[in-house]
Formats: sequence, structure tokens, C-alpha cells
Amino acid sequence: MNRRIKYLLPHDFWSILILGLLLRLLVMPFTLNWDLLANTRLIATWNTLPLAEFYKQPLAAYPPLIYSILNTVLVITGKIFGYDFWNWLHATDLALLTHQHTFRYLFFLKLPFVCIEVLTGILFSRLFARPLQNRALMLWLLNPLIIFTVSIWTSVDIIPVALLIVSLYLAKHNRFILAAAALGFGGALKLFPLFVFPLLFIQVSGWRRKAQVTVAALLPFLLAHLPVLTLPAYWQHTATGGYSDQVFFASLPIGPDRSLIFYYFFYTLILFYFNQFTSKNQRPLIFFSFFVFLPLFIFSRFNLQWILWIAPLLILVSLQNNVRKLPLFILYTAFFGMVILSQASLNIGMLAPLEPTFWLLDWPVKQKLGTEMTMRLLNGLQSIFAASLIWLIYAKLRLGGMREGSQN
Amino acid sequence: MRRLDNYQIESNSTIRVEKNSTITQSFQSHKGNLAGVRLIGFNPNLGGSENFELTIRDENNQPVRTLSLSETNLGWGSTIRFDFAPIPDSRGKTYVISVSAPESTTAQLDLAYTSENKYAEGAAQKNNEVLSGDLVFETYYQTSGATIIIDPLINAGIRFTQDPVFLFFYCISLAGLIAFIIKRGRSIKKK
Repeated sequence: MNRRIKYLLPHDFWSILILGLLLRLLVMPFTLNWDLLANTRLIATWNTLPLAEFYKQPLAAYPPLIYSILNTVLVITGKIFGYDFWNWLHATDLALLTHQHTFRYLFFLKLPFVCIEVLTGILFSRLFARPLQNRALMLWLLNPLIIFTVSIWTSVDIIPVALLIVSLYLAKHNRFILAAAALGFGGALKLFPLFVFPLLFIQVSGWRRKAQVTVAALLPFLLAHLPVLTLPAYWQHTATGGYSDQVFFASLPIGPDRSLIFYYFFYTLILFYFNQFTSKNQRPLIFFSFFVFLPLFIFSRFNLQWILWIAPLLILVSLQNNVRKLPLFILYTAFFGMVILSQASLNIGMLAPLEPTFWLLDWPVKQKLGTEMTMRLLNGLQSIFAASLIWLIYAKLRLGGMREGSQN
Repeated sequence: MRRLDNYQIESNSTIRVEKNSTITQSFQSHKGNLAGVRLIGFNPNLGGSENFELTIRDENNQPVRTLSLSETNLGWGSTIRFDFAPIPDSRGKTYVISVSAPESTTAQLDLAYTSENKYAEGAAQKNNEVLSGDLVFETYYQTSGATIIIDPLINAGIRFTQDPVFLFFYCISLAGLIAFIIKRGRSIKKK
């Protein structure tokens, strides 16, 4: 890293934390993604509609527990600010954006997510050996990907990611049953943390312990899903519809009505790779817990906010001194290039609280460059992103090993 | 770049433009360089080939900008975008957008409308008769150069000051965090 930049960056816990908070404070009140607004309005209907009706709404795509939690947060916010808040929330988009309390309400709507994210960053840094903790914290709190997805976009994925990291922290301290329960809770909020469960299953030794962690993970997941088990609308939206189709889209036809699905194929190989390590102490659980999502980011047109799922993996790579950082820079550039080339609601449209005109923009880049050119550029950036990701993981495996906190 | 000036987006019904039925909406231009008006239209004759006329009239009822719009280009619930060369001295003046079908006997177009008075600075009219409600509409003005950045920041600043309690706590938090970083930086440098 450039010496001057290195000198300017904070090195102690409090300086890093305060600088991280400052960066978040600067963007929170002035940015808004369409998802936050739409989801908040949806969450406001959580207790007013029967579940079957609720899940018929096209946007209702998450498991019930996350709506219960977010509805509670919303009700508390509503209690603090009263009718003005509810009027603001249900106003037409332009009226909401030009409301005199918009900055205040955006700040408070985002606050729980940002608090969870910052605490997750601190916990994540504690997964490493003491000399690396502040560096890991800095890479989390000053990370543009994380600031963008949580403080600007307000991705709800930070809650399951937080539970995933809680689970890893518990596993690191050999509290595997609690770790499995945290994963189960994460899975009850969004399904992706469950992809990490097989690693935990492999990690614990003895069939009795394996059975215990299985029950601990499944119990919160099943209990949270009890109210919706028989709702076809729920299963169409979450487990089998929408984004799931996207994740499992890339496949290789091998015969009539038969294909190899790339995600499952490589996911299984990664699990076997993890299982290959002979002892629990050698298995790099933290690295593999994010490595399992790698095929998704290579073989699918992933939702840009999912980048949060592998942000910890990128930090693990950044902590490795002997891995060259150019591919990392290219990966970040490709990601933000995709953001800029996307529809306005993912880039300039997020500044609508400052300038409501931006809310009315559709896809300025596409209008300027044409559909074909825009798609070509997006495909190019996605390919560069995937190649950089593969190279970084290869470099980490080849040069640095997989031990968490290894500096080599 | 065209920036939003006025908007009225409440809608609970539609109002029909047809032969002998001209619909107008007056509005106040808060900025110079008025450069566009958008309405929402529902065309019951999709694919028809009749023409409508959109006109911007000034305070003297003189047409200043006109557009002939073919029914072919009108959909159902679509935005009718009338962008025109900027009117430089529009700041503070009242304008009227009118939609008519002067040369057609069969053309029909329903414009999104609210029966309540939701826009205080103007009113909708049908054949010069003032209606109780307003059209759904947006007006835009042209910006260029540094004003593209300066205008939004000034507007946001003005809106920020409308919430003094939040402004106070926000600035205090910001100042506190910056002061902490500076102090910490100095103490580390001394060591």
C-alpha cells in the first residue's frame, strides 16, 4: 500500500471505529434505495394482513421471521415519531422525498442496520489473532462495498450475515451447538446462511455431536417457518422463485432433460475439499464459510447487494500480505462499474433525497449507450469480476494458505 | 439536465380530452428555463392515428411552445413527455398547459386527474371552466454546468434547515466525531 495512504489510515481501535461511524453518518440521511422504501411499506402491512395475503404481494420474498423483527423496529420508530412518520411513509414517492423530515426518518430507518453492521465488523475482527484485529476492523469499517450495501442501500442481508459471523465466533470458541443455532436463526431470516451448515456438520466430531448441531440448526429454522409451511405463495416467492432461478440458471446440458447445475457442482466440490482436512484444527472454517458462496458469484447473475455475503472473504484475502492487491482493486472497480451501469435506482437514483429528480430517472446509461452496448459492458464487467475473484482465491490458497490470520 | 420544479401526483380519476373539450392546468414556474411538462395519459384508441395538440401559454394567454402529438405514440397509463426549448425568463410566472384535439372528431385521451385541489398554485380547467381538482403533472426546468450540482445542494441545504432539531444533533455528532479523530491523530503523532 502507498506509504502516504498507510500513514493517513487510523491504526488503533477507537480511531478506526470513529472514522467508520463518521463515513456512515455522512451518507445515511441523504441516500435511499427503492428497496428500503418498498420493503418498509411492505413491512408496515405485516400485522395488518393474513399471512396468505401478505405473501401474495410480489415483494414479499423473505421468510416470516425477518418481517416480524423489522416490523417491531418499524413500530418502535413509529411510536417515537408518531403520525408524522406514518404519513411520511405512506406519502407518494415525490412527496416523501421532499418532506421536511426525510433526512431524519432515513437516518433512523437505517440506524438499526448500521448498528448491526458495525457490531458485526467488530465481532468479525475478533475472529483473528490479536495483531490482525485492528487491520481486519479497518478493512471492514472503511470498506466501500460494505458502506455501500448497508449505509446507502440498506440491505437486510446484513442481519443474516451478522448471525453467520456470530456463528463463526462461537464455533471458534468450540461452542458448536450455539453456533449451529445462530446459523439456524440466520437461515430463518434468509436462506443463504444454511449453505454454511454442512461445514459445521463436518467440523464437529462424533455422530452424537453431529446430531445435536443438526437439531440446533434446524429447530429455529423450522419453528420460524411453521406459520408459512403450507402457504404455496411463500414457497413460490422464497425457496423456488425469483432469485433462486437465477442462482441455478447456469448449467451444462448432459442429456435429454438433464443438466449439471454449476452452483451445486462446485459447492459439493468445496465441501469435499473442506472434508479433506484431517483434523478439526487444520480446517479453515472461517475461510470456507464464505468460500462456499464463490460459485454463486461466478456462475450467476447475482443481485449486487449479495456482495455482502462475500465481503468477509475479500477482507480475508486483503489480510494476506503476499497476495498482490491489483486483482482486488480490479474486482472492486468491476463491481462499482456494474453499479454505475445499472438502472438509476442503484446509483444516481439513490441520491434522490438530495435531488428528487433523480428518483424519476429510469436507466440513463442504457438510454445514452443503447441496450446492446450497456449489456455488453455489464457482461464484460461481470466476467472481469468473476475472473478477479477466482484469481484472488487461487492466490490465497496457493500463496498464503487458508489459515485465518495468517500473514505469511 | 432537466430538473423537477412542480409536481402534482395525486390521482383518483381521469378527465377526457376530445373534440370540443380542451383541458388545461395552470402552474407557477419557480425557476427560469422552464423546459418540460409531463402528464399521465390513458389512450382508449390504442394504435389510432389522430393528433392532439399540447400548448404552453404564458400569462397573456399567448402560446409560447406547441407540440403535435400522434395517438399512435400514446399508451395506457403512460407518461406524456413534452420537452421543449427552455423559456429563459419563466421564473415566478404563471403558465398554462393545454391539451386539445382541434382537428379531430374521434380522438379521445383520458388524463390522470384528482378531483381534490392538491396543487395550490394553479387549477385545472375544462373549456375555460375552473374545475375543483388538478391534473397529474410535473414541470421541469433546464440546468447546465455547475448549477447541476449546486442547485441540488442548495435545495437540500434549505430542506435540512427545515428540520432544525435533526440538523442540530446531526451537526453535533459530525463535529464530535471529527474532533475525536483529530485529537486522536495528534496524540498518536506525539507518541
